[in-house]
Amino acid sequence: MKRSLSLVTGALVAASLVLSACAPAASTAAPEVEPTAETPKTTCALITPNPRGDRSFIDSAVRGIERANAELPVDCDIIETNGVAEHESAMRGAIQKGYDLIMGLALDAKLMTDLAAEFPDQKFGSPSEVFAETLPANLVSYQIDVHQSSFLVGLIVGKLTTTKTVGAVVGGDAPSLNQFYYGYKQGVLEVCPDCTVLVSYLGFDFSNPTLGLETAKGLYDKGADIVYQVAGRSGEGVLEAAAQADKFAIGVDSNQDFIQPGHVITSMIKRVDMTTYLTIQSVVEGKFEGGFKRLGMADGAAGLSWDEGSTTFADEGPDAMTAMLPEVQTLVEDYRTKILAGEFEVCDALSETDVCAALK
Amino acid sequence: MTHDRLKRLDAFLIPILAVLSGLVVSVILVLLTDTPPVEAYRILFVAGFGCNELTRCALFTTLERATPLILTGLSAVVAFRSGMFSIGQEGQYLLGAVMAAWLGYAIQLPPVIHPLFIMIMSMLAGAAYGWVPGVLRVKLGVNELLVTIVLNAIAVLFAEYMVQFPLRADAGAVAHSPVIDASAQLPTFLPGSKWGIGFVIAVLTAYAVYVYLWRSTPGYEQRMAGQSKRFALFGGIPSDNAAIRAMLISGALAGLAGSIEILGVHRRIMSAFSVGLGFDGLSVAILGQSHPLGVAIVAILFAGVRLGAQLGLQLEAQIPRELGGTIIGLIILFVALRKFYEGNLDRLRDWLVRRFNRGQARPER
Repeated sequence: MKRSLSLVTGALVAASLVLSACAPAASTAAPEVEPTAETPKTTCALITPNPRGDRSFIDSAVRGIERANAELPVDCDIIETNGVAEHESAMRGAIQKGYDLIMGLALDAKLMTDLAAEFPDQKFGSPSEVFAETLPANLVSYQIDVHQSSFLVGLIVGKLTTTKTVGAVVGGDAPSLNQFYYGYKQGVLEVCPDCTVLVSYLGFDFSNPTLGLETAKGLYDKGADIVYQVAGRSGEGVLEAAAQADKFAIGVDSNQDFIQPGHVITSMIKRVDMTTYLTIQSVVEGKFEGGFKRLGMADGAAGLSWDEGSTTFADEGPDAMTAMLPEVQTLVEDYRTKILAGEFEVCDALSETDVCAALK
Repeated sequence: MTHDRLKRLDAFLIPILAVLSGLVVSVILVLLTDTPPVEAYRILFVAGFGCNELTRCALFTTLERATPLILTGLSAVVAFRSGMFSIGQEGQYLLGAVMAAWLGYAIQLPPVIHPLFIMIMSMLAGAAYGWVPGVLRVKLGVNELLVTIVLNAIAVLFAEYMVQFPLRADAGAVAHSPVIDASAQLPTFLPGSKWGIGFVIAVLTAYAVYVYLWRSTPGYEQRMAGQSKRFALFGGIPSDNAAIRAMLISGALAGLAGSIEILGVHRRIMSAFSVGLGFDGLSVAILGQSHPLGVAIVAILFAGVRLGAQLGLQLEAQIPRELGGTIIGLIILFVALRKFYEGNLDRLRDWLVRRFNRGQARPER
């Protein structure tokens, strides 16, 4: 008995010796040989702030990478991280691997600008806004303006509401988030001047579906029948609340119509996949340049899930509302044409135009 | 004598055997991904501990990531050894971090003094937060495990509130505090990673914790109170004081971890700062045999496996980065089997000692 047990221990020790001997041996025997492709592909990496699967912002950027890999002569990787403690090591790891382009998705602005300054020959990109005064020449940051497409959402909501009270659950009270809210409010009031627009800010908690659920319930209890969510993962709670209360909601960032079918009228889509793709494309075509870039509805970077042909609500929504959809869609297209032609001005909370004054 | 000396090796041998067993069992998971296991482990360890040139060294990044784990691990060691099963490191870590981020820009002091002062204040913040469960345990008999769980949740929300409102620097979508003054930033050794003075502080702290617990009277009292409260009382040791002292020190160490993470790495605090480094400290302490030296080694191993999984497995072998966490989980599982190793190691030792003695006896014959 004793002997057999000591044999087990011996075997473990032996296994350890073999393993520890194996590792370095293998590394010397097989030096890293890069498989040289015939046409050198542009390489790039996207560092995500959290793992994939948020059905919103991160997944959208991942779609951009997948599209680039399919359509462009590029080889792009996705580096998932799990929170702020891993962001810098992931960025530095990517720099060491020598990608042509490294994109950080919604990472800390100081981290991005510091790394860009430290590695001036490395191209960096951010598919979403980097909040900084100035950017180095090797860092490009895309800002997607969402006020105009949020206005279209407001038109839809103003037309479809039956209680004349609608709501918005917004992640936090900051200009970049109010760009969603003020555009939406203006749209509602445009077609329904006697409507009330309720708003709840979540105190910048973007990862708390329970908070979103409770907040939206409060708005539905106050008589709102449609709520626009601008709150990341917390917003999934808003969609859930709509289903529970048998009311309606509007999704954000990605197409979220399918998450609660029949309760999500449409989604305001912020095309982070597009800015991701454009950043990669600019490198492939040799047109990369640093600095801030603003895209909006005119560029197709923001829009509605309906634009992509989403018919989830038309198929599953209540008949009384779906019957109105053709009329609503015509109205939306009318305003879209006017806005794009510059004949109608929508409030942009980031630049505080005169139109906004009336909305506060 | 030889026997005793060999027995002291257990503190190393058991974790090493647990690590190896974890790696061996993980081979099954690696095989599911169609990557040869030896290749996968080579990638894992090269990406976690490799070093090509001084400024592109994964090992240095690993040491940087190990720094907070060493300190939160030591925090757990001090609590565990003193009989307090405190898991409050995460909360104390966060309070230390918030304190550092705030004082980093709110007060102006000359270099050297500035970070020193901040670290002391962060340690006080952490100690104060550790004092609460200590006092509740001693005076009211409230289970410190429950109290620390609740306090962690409060600290996470408090830190998030501080980042979102009082400390918020600008209206960006991701909230963060202003960058701390240059005078408060802890220097780094080499460009390419944030490995710096913080690591040295962590290692020195590990030594200090060892000296305190094993070579000083108050430390002896704490360990005694931890091993047997009644015996300690009988021997005239004020075990209540020892328990509170343990929680103060434990909290201070976790607060120091938060402070160094801010002053040395991030240079400001941002939304979602709590990523479980405090909880990782618990695992590090358990795997490190609740010994400072073990903690330091295991923290480096943890950080390296994580980094290797993130940058090696994920990128080179397309194996999900979660494998790193799985390996760590399996290793902890095997540490829980320490009784198995201990029994066998004792037998192996007996056998070796007998052989050794016989071998020595021979030339005399």
